[in-house]
Amino acid sequence: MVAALEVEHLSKAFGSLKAVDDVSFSVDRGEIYGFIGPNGAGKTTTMRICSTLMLPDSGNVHIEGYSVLDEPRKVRARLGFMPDSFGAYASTTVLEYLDFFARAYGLKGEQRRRSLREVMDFTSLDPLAEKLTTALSKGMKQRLCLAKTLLHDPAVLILDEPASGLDPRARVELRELIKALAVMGKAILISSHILTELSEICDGVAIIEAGSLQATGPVDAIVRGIRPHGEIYVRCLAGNEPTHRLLSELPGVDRVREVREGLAFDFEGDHDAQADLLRRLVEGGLKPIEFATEETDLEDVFLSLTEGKVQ
Amino acid sequence: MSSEGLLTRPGFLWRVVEDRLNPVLVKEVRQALRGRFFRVAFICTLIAVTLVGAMIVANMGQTVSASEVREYFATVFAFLVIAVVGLVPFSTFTAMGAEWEENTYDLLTISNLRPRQVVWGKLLASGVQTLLYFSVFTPFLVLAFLFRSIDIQGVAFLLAGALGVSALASTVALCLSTFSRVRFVRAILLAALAGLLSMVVIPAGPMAHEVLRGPFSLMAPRVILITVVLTLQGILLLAFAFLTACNMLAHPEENRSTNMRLLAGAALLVGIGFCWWMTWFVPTHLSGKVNRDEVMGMGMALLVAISVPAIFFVTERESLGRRVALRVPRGLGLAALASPLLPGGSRGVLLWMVQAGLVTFLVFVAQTPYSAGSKGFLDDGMAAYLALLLYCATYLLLPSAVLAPYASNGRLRAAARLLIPSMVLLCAFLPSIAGFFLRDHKLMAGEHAGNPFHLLEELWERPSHVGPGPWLLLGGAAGLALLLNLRRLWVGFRELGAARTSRARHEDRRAAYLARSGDAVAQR
Repeated sequence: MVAALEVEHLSKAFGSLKAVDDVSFSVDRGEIYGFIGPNGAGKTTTMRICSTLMLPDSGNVHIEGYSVLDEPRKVRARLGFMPDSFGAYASTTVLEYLDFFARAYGLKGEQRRRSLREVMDFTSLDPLAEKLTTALSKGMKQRLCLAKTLLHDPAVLILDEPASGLDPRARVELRELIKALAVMGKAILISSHILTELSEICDGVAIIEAGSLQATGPVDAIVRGIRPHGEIYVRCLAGNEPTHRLLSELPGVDRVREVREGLAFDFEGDHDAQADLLRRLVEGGLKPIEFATEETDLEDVFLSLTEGKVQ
Repeated sequence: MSSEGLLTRPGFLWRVVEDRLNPVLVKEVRQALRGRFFRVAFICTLIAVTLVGAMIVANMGQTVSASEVREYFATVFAFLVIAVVGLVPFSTFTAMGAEWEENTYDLLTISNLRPRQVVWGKLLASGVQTLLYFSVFTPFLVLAFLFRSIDIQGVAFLLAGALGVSALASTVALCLSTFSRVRFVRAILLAALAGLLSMVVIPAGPMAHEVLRGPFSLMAPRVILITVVLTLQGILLLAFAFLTACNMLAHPEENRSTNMRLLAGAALLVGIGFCWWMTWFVPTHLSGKVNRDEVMGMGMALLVAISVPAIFFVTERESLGRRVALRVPRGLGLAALASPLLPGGSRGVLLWMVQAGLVTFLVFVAQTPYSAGSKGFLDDGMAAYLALLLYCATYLLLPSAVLAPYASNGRLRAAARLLIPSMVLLCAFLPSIAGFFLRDHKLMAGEHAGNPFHLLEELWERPSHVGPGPWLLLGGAAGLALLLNLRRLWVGFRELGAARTSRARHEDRRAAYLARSGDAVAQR
């Protein structure tokens, strides 16, 4: 079965600057894939190549099996791209704006009217149909652009920083819309700086820095790759020094270090072993008042895989 | 203006029309009708023409003289021209610029609209505005006609002219607007456009007065000839501006040259056809006879006509572009035949050589019947024709060959395009300036081989008075230009070969990809 979006050894340079260097990953139908990296890492360049707006120096991108190199029009018919910055036409209402793009995508007659009704309903733009696009708030403009992106029912969605500049409520609403789109079977590639949000919705991620891909795959697999052991945080009333001494003697404990007011350490063991460890701390008279397993989130993964290189 | 109707099923007639309309046209008309510029301009023009028209009519006496009617018509016509040749092209220029200013062009591109559809939609929208202005002016023009002192033929001539010039001006405005996205450059382009349009708008009133006064018949052969020449030039300019605009909007890696090359070829054929028509028209209608020097003159005009667009072709980026390379014909023979039409500076040189060869061949064939009575082969303009051919080869091929390695840089490419026409002036005036310091009166007066205007005049009037020196100089320069381009042409041919191989490899890769993905796409 062909992947909905397949990026193969993509490279693009601007003069001596390698914006994208041998990047490969793929996104299946119904999958939400996070594309993360610092500013200038090459995310937007990769997304613009995927959207046929730019050509790669080498490599290729296939959207539902069609190459962005030699079949850009077929690709565009199957792709919805929401750029990080976009404009709204002056003196145009929300409905006229969407009607224009529906016509531009080649939708005709009843099919166009049905599509307009569906996307306006899906993005809750119905009450704003008669409003001028220039009078919309940032959140509503993002919704409008998403609605435009969905008009021709594309199989693949590429969303470049769709949540930037949105207030918390709008972000939650946008997140829900994206989840709903994935349920509909669309493959979604989404870039964002807000990693906590991505971690909640993404099935997989691609982490890029200075044009090079640092890691790609399902979030769990990447986390396991970086931290095969669990991490535990403990704070005892007896203080860090005796706690450190005791922990160093226990099996399965490694890399004990001071974090905040307590100690954090890698621990190899299941829940029973964790309970046993806690018992040993109590029996040792260390009086533990905090004992928690530290969750490794996307932010940790990102920080451990990237070095903050700027191009 | 409510847009709710867009969601309801329209009547039968509108259903037939609506899906055939260009989307950009629909959007532009909606925007223009709701926009401030069109509303203000439309109302102001209407008020102005009403007031001025009323004043002229109020000043008319009991009996209306023909000159008063002409004055009235010319005034209304001048306002019409201001609207359709001034305001409408300005609006077209800003409509294209707005796509970049409002950051919407990327959305247009990914919406699968072709550049041609975008340009066509914007021009049609300006056409709708023009028709709206015409409909408003019609009552005023009809009133003038009802005074019965003006000729319907003249009125039709003027109105058709205004319509044609409006379409041309809007296309040129749109073309200029696609040249740059930088606001400062766009401001300069707009100023240039304003200058161009004012040259048409300002004389419109007096010209209308002259045409209606009728010192000449519109059906006179000379007027027909001039009208045909101007119309042909206008159509060609419009087509070039249209294609240039489309190409400027296309992706840099896509083919932005073949359509222009085809048009240049078509223009050459039209030019040849026109020259052929002239050889029939002149003796029949202008009671004259076509001479050998007139054939040479036509040949020289064609040579200049093919060399002007060639400035752009020979200075193009040398490589084909990735999307173009994938479409190079598979067969070697077909690829070689198509070569002059494919993008790339070296292939531009090839196109010019083919065209110049064709013109020279036709000139030789056409002059044969007239050469019997000539004094010598180089007489009657033949020497001037050959010298012009050498000049064109030198000016086009020498700088483009030198700058070809840097043609991938857009700024250097633009510099090369400016350098070629500048070379004509530089070669003419620099020796004259040197002559001033060397106190050489001949050089100072521009009497040297670098000055094409002087040498061509000499060769036309007195070919036997010109010694071998200028010929050697010109021939040497043109020969050097050809020599420098030989390697370039060879590299161009090799690139075609490489493109054919890379196309085959790409097709193999695609087949492998389809096989790997279970032929899912092919089945779809």
